[in-house]
Amino acid sequence: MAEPGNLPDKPEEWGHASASATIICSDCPRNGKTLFAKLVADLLTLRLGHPPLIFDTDEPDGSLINHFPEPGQILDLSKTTAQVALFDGMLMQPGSHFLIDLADRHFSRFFKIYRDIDYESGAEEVGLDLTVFFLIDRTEASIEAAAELSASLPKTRFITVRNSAIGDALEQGRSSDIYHQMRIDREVLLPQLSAEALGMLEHPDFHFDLFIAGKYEHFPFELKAELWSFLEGLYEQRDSVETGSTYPV
Amino acid sequence: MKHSMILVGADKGGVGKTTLSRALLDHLERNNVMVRAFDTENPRGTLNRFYPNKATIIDLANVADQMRILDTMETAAEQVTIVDLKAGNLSAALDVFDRIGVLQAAKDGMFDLGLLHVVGPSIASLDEMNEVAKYTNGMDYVVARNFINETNFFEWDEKTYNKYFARLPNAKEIEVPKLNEMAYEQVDLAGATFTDFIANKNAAGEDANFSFVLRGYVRKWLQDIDAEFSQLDMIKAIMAAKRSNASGES
Repeated sequence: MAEPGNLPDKPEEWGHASASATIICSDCPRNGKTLFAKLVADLLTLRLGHPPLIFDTDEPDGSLINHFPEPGQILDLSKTTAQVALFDGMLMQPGSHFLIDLADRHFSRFFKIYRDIDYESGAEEVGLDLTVFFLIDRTEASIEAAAELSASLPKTRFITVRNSAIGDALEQGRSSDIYHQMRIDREVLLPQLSAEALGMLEHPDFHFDLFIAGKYEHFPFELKAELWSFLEGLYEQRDSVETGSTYPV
Repeated sequence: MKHSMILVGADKGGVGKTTLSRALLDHLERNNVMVRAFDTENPRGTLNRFYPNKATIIDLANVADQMRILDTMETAAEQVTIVDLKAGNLSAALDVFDRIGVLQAAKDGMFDLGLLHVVGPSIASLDEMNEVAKYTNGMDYVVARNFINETNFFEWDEKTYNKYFARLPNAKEIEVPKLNEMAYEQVDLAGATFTDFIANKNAAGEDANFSFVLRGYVRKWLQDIDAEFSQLDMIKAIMAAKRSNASGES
C-alpha cells in the first residue's frame, strides 16, 4: 500500500485504485470547481500517462470538456439515458479512471441517484475507487451541505476543498463547528492565484502536466514561479493524506 | 392457518393495477409467504406473463373458475390468494362475490379478505370509491393512490380527494411511488419479476445484464412500496400468521 507523501510513480502500483471515479462538486456555482477539476484531471494525466475519461454535466456546451475534448462526454443528467451512460459506463470499463465535473444544478439529483441506486456497493463489487471533492462555498449552508453529503456516503472518500480565492467560509456563524464535526478524509486548501495566473489556467490549451513537463518555458519568470509555488503548496498538503490514500493531489 | 384473499382492482384501465399486484406478490414472496394468484384478464393475462407458474388465468364470470378460487382456499398450500381483477371490472366482480356469499363468508371470519383499490389521477377514479363502498364492510379496504405511471399531476387536488376519502370510514390508504419510466419499461420488456430484475436475473432465472442504474431505481421503488405495504393491517396479519405458524411447527 502506498505511504502518504510517497506515492509510487506508476499507476499500477497505486494499490487499490486500479480504477477510480473522481467527482468534483459543490452545492453552489462560481467557486472554482471547474478550474479545480482541470487541475485534478491534469495531475491524473501526469500519473496515468493519459487523461482520465471525463464526464462533463454542464450541458449543452460543457465546461471542463473544453479543456479536454478527448476523451470526454457532455451529459444531461436530467435524462435517464445519460444517468445510465455515466453510472453504468463507469462500472463496465474496469481499469479505467473517470472524472466527473458535476454542475451545481445537478448536485442534488446526482447524489440522490447515487444513494438511491446504492452506487457505492456497485463500485465496490467491480473495484472502482470513489472520491468526492467538495468545494466549500462562502456560506454556512454550503458547509451544512458538505456535512450532509459526507454523512450519506460512508464508502466514498470525502475531500473538502477550500478555495482561498473566494474567502474563508469557516468564519461564518457555526460554520467552523459544523466543519470540524463532519467526516473528512482529507482537506485541500487551494492557494489564491493572481489574475494573470488564473487567466492562464482558464485557457483550454494550458495544462499543469505540460507545465510540469517544461512545455511552457516561454512563460514570464514570475508567472512560472507563481504556478510552481501553487503546485508546491498543493503537493505539501499531500503529507496529510490518510494512510492508504492514493490520490495524486 | 387462516387464509387471506386479496383482491386488486380498479374500474378504470391503465391505473397500474397489475403492477401493484406484481409488487404485492413480490413483497409477500420476499417475506417467505406462499402465494398463489389468479389473473382475471382473460384470455391473455398480464400478471400471468410475469408469473407463469404462479398466476392462473381465469374467467370470473365462469362458475367453474369461481370455484377454483373459492373452494380451494382451505386446502391450498399457499397462505395467500391474490386476485388481479380485470380492468374496469371491480364493481362487477364485487357484485359477483357478494351474490355467491364470499363477502358474507369473510364477514363471518372464514378467511381474511382485503381489497386494494387502485385509483388513478381522474375524478372518475374518486367516484369509484363511492361505488365500491357498499361492499367493503367486513374487509380491509385500501385505497392505493398510484403515481407510478403519472409524470406530474392528479386531476383532483388533496381537498377533493380527502372529501371522497372521508366518506369511507374504514378505508386505509397507501401511495404507490413513481418508478422511473425507463426502469419500468425495462422490467416490462424483460418479463421478469421485480425481485429477479434487481437481482440481475431474466425471466428464466438466468444471469442477465440489466443496467445497474435501472436496477437501482427498481430496488429503491420496491423498498418504498414495501414500506407502504408493511403498514397495512392485512399484511401485518399475514406476517403474524406466518410467524405463528412457523413457531408452531418448530
